[in-house]
Amino acid sequence: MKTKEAPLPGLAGLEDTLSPVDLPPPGAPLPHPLRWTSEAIAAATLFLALFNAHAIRGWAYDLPPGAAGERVIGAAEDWYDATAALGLNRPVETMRGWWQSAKDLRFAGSAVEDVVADPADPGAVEGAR
Amino acid sequence: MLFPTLTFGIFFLIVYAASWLLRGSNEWRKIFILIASWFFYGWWDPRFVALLIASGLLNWGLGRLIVRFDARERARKLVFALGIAANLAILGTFKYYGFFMVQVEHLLHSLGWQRDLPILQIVLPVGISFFTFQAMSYVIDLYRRRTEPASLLDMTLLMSFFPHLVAGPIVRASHLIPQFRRTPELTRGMAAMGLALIVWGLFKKAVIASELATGLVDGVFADPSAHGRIDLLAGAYGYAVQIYCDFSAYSDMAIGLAALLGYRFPHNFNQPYRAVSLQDFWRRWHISLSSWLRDYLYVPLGGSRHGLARLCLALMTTMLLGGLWHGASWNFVIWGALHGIVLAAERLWREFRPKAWPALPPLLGILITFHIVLLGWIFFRAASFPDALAYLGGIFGGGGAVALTPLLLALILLGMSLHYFPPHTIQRTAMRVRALPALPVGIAVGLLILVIDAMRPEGVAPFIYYQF
Repeated sequence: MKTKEAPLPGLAGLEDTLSPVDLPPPGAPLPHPLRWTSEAIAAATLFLALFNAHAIRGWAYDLPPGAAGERVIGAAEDWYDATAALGLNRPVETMRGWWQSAKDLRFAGSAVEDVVADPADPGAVEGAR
Repeated sequence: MLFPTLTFGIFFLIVYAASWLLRGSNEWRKIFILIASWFFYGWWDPRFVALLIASGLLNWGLGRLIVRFDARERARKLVFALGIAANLAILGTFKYYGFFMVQVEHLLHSLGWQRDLPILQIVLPVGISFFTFQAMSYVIDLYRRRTEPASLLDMTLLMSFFPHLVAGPIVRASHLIPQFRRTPELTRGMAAMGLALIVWGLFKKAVIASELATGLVDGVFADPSAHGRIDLLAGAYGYAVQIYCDFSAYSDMAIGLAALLGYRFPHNFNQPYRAVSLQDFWRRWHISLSSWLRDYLYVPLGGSRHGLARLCLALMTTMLLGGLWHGASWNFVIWGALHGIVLAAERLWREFRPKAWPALPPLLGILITFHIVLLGWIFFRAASFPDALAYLGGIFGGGGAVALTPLLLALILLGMSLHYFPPHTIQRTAMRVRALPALPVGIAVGLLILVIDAMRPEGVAPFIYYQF
């Protein structure tokens, strides 16, 4: 009655693994995995906080109303203004403009108006960013 | 709390940091992750956390009794039967009660009995099908002596663990409980795969699935009669891409999040639309559910051990119940029946195909299989059976104004092309990434998320499989 744990893959490679995160062992040891992961996550978080303050501001406005929410909104507005003053919001706004231009393209003779999702539909947009 | 939101991002950063700070004590670490999982689940509706806890307690208790009665076969069997019945009763009450009562009422009305039945509107707890199936697999495996009994903490964490709680993968006790028993270790390979799967899942969900849903699929399925055949065809292909990108994105993110906490979840998708047969499709689509249905339903029903007729019956029953697992609707029954009939037909064809006839070329097999799956998706997505028929009729009907845009067409083609990427592309990428310094990896992750954020529509739709 011994429970069999999913075996780690051998050097054979990526076939027949039980989990997608099972990779063959590296050729040389890769030290400090937790520190490496934490630094990568911290770098990604900082990068997004600097270049995507718009998302933080939008999230703050979706918080439930109240004194704490007001303070978060104030801080998010200040952070947005500070990053915008440095021009850090420009990359995402430029990309958003490109994407909107791609969305606005139409085939010749196609319907002018966009298809609007039925809000009562389970697949319709509900959540906030 | 949806994965692709800042709220979840903040939640996960706290859980990641605290769980690794607590790694000195595996028990406290698990207790913390369990409480965090209940917080995550309670974000939707705190009342259902009690259901989750009660279900965990029930199945842990059943497991203890099955082990205690190890030498008394009748008592073991009785506890096992009660356990399965209790789990099915929970599932049935929340998921099928309303549907069943409506059907009974229709039947009575058709027989001339015009009184209304007391039909309650029961709110469906998110993820109930997933955590109930996980619990059932634990009880069944214990009964079959294929797993060891879990501690109360491990059992409740197995059912509540937030990455897979609401939409799978269905992780069995035999896979996860041994991982819970020791303090997890993180490798750079796991972390690189975790980050890659999270970013990749985010792209599939927030860009491909969300754009197709809001730009095409929801509108076309809401009113098929207002659309011409090009939009209806595009809507069907679009939904095939949407549901794949939506559901596989959830699985990818769940696997990635669990990996960052040090746990390994099983595969759930493997390029399903390149399947050469429907049997092959079910080895590639929602693998954790199809293997669950195979091991706990198809095989006990006889499988392939009792002749062809019994095999076909087992296939049909399994797929019909697999359809009903998705929800209480005749459309899901039709979807399951379609898959069951084709699976049985494939088996009969393999059995009786004249030896002189050549086998189907793989490309033709892929095309036929995909379009059978596509037909099933129309029933799966349509609100009702008449809506599905109207949709199919519209495809063969007249033209009309085209709402399909070049971008939506490109997303459909991209979603289909994902199935022809070289196998293990993400794994190979992660093997390179793990050898890089952390800073450029973090900046690259941040940059990719920034690009995705610039492309995604405002807001985020719930994952399709949340409703199951």
